[in-house]
Amino acid sequence: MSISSSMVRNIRKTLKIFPHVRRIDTLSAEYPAYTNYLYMSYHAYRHDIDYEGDGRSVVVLGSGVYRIGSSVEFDWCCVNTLKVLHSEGYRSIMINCNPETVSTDFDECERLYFEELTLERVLDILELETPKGTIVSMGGQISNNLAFPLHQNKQRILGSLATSVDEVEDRYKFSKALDILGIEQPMWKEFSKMNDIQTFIREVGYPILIRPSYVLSGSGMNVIFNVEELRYFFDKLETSEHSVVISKFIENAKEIELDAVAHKGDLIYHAVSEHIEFAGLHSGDATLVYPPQNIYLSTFQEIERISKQIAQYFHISGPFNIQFISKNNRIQVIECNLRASRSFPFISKVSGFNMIRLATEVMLGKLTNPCGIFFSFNYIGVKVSYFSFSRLPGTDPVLGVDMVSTGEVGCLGNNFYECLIKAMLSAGFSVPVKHLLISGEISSLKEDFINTIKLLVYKGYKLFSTEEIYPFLMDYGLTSKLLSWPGVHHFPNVFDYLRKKKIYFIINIPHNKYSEIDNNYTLRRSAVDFNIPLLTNTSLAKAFIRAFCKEELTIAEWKSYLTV
Amino acid sequence: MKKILVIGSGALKIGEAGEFDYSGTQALKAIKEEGIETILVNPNIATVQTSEGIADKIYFLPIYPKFIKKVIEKEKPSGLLLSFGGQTALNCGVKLFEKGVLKKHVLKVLGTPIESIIASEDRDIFRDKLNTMNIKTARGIVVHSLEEAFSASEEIGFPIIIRTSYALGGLSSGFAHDKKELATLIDIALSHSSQILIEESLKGWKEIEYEVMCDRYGNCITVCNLENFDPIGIHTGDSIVVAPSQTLPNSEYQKLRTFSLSIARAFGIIGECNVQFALSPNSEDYRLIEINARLSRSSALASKATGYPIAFIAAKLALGYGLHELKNYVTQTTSAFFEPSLDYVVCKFPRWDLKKFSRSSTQIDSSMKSVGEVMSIGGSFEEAFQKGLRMLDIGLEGFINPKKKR
Repeated sequence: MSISSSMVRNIRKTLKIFPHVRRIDTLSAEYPAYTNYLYMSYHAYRHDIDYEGDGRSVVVLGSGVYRIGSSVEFDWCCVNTLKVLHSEGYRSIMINCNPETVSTDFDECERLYFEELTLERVLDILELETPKGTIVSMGGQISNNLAFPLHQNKQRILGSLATSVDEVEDRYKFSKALDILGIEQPMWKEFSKMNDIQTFIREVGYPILIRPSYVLSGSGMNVIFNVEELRYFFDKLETSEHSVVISKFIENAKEIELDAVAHKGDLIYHAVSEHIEFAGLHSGDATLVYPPQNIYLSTFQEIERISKQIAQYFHISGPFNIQFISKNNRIQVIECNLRASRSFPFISKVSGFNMIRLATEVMLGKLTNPCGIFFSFNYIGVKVSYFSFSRLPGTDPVLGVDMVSTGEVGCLGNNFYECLIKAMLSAGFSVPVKHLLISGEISSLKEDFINTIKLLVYKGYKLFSTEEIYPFLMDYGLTSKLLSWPGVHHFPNVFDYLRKKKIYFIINIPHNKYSEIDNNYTLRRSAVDFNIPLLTNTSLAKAFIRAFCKEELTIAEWKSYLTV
Repeated sequence: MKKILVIGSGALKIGEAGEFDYSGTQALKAIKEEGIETILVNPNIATVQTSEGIADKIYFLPIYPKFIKKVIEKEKPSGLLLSFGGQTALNCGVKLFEKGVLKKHVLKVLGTPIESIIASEDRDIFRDKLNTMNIKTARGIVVHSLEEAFSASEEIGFPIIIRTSYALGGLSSGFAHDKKELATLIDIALSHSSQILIEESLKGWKEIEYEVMCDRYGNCITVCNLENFDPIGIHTGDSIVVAPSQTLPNSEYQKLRTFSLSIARAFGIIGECNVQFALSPNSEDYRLIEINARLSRSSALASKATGYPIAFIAAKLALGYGLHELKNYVTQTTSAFFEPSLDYVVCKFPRWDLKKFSRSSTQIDSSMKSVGEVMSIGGSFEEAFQKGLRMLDIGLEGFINPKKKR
């Protein structure tokens, strides 16, 4: 017999088995101690606190455990939400279970439940609190995923409708909606059988992207370049109760992000930012530039038009984020989330306009007017990802559609290059002294890459290369010292040069994961083990080289930028 | 004291995550309350501490001596707080001290003196100091090359553990069972640090930690002790941790507590420090493993577990207050000069994301691999344990066997 958790819950309630609220007593009742730290226990027989039942409480669901793709940024969103609740005269109630957060601090809210973010436990708390409503859009994916189940259990969700959240999160429903709206998206089809995929591929051609619904930071997402990879993925695929969508993967496309706040379907504030890397790299690993430096005005207008349409269609109230790709002036939507995104703190701090404040006010039903758009000619912000490969022995430090960065930094500067270099230094890169190694695939190395390398040679840098790259550089009149692969017993050997720290910076361009040869992996891994800066993306490598060849850095504090 | 510079921990990384946003934010609040101007350097733009209203001025700049020096020249602060930004901030501060930047700008390190920090981080000084106090440490030899490592391994005997100084999250540390494994580890370790410690392996011993608060008058308390569910050999960051300890009889608890207090005094801690012990499961034999003369992951956990605002109080102690002069800001009524006692059990669980990485090993060892953690509170160990597993959001409903036939 199979029985659902909601049935168990109902049986438990009819049997009058309830967890009770306990207040954390630091002093074991030796002295009175009044704290706002609470937890639920089946070991208690009465509640330690009295509930007001006045409908002035608002519950905020936190981000839960940090994992790749969900970390401190959602803590920032929650803390800011709590502040607005407080200043608007509401009783702020926090539910979170992560000890490394500020949202679980003693002075950030009026009541803190150090508790599970499971449907069962959140319902237990909400039934006691009887709040005005619950905010699920600030804690990232865990809390957002509770929107629909909570709604089904007759709990009031503040902000966008739970049904809209469900429609947007379900890739099948969302893609359908875009078709209705006439908004372009990469060709897609719902996944069912291997044969169906092959029919689809015959139509659109490789590469394709496979995406399951309700995922965070691209887990289970995969780009497939050929039939072997397709088989490999198929074997690996975990069964999911939600639908899986396959779409055409567009190479060499620009990726653009929109972070926005809408009020009852009207777009009232939005921020557009761009990636340095082409689409295909997870947005959480990509380098983000705000305000964007390389977007046509027409692209801006098109993005604004599409966003207004989406906000209207889903009747969005609160924070949301849309990811676009743009190639040859065609703008397509690849993803949308009706919640605050990872980039909200970065965007808010660069512009000095707190988007969480606005979003929370909207969700509380406060009258809000359109707030214009931020633009600055004087400074910009760049966000760079941080990777913890050195702490994970053996892992291949290569990036793809699955997010692997553990953190991020964001810096402000007077121009793009200055800002980029500050951010990259903050993320652990160093400006190479003299020796640079280029290796890997040549197909993505174009004319402008060569020009960047020429700049290095002009600056007195010495180039080193591996097999494929050596003749390629020669063709462009660039001499480099050829190093043989680690596995080959020829000298001079790459591995020796890395070990003896004769190389200060490495560019390794992987083609794609599956067809990878061991040499490239060994090279990348050695770079990490020997603590030598490594870049695996041509766009970022170009920008970084131009940046360190050029810039003088200014030391200025945050507010001095905002007041320019 | 008019203006204080606080250094943050930069990007979230394995071994240094959100806990330093918590500790830095509390420290900044504690200083601000005194009417002192605060300057923060932290390039982590997503943190709460780099928000409006926490510090007076924020610099989104790399945590490198070169940049911090420029900020010092520009802002001319009179005090420096190093212990709230993890190992990153501490390492940077030590470099500024060694380069004479602090002396030149008459910049005072607040809290634990920088000499004490260096003494606690340098394996040789650390060991000598404890020897004079008759506190047992694991047998170990400091080496600087592969040749030295080989001869050290002969003296101690395999298996051995390799550690580097100034490391966070046990970076480039590990166990070696033979010369070949040793050579591989040493090669990598040497590229991160010039000083490596070869130590006797205590695999299988219990790992117990104490969180100690100390003021400039030498008043000391232990806020809490933590017991690792996993034995020595598994990094604390990758271990399930329980507070308070569940398997220690009073005699062991008190012995280690007394050691912790005397160590904190001997190292001149002003603020907070974390003391880690290995305890034999078969006798009362013990080894002191290390101390962290700064806020750590464990102190964030201990703070949330007990309701004692460790970072906030530590910042006040660094400003010169005594424990007896402060109240507990959580309870508002009691003094900060008390040792919390708990009528509940707390469990911390790590969360890994290893399947996202290509070619990663899923084996856990003395190098930390987890990317996040949760804390559960229950009326019993069992309740807290089950809750914690559900909090991890990995589809577990608790410690149950899903394959078991009904």
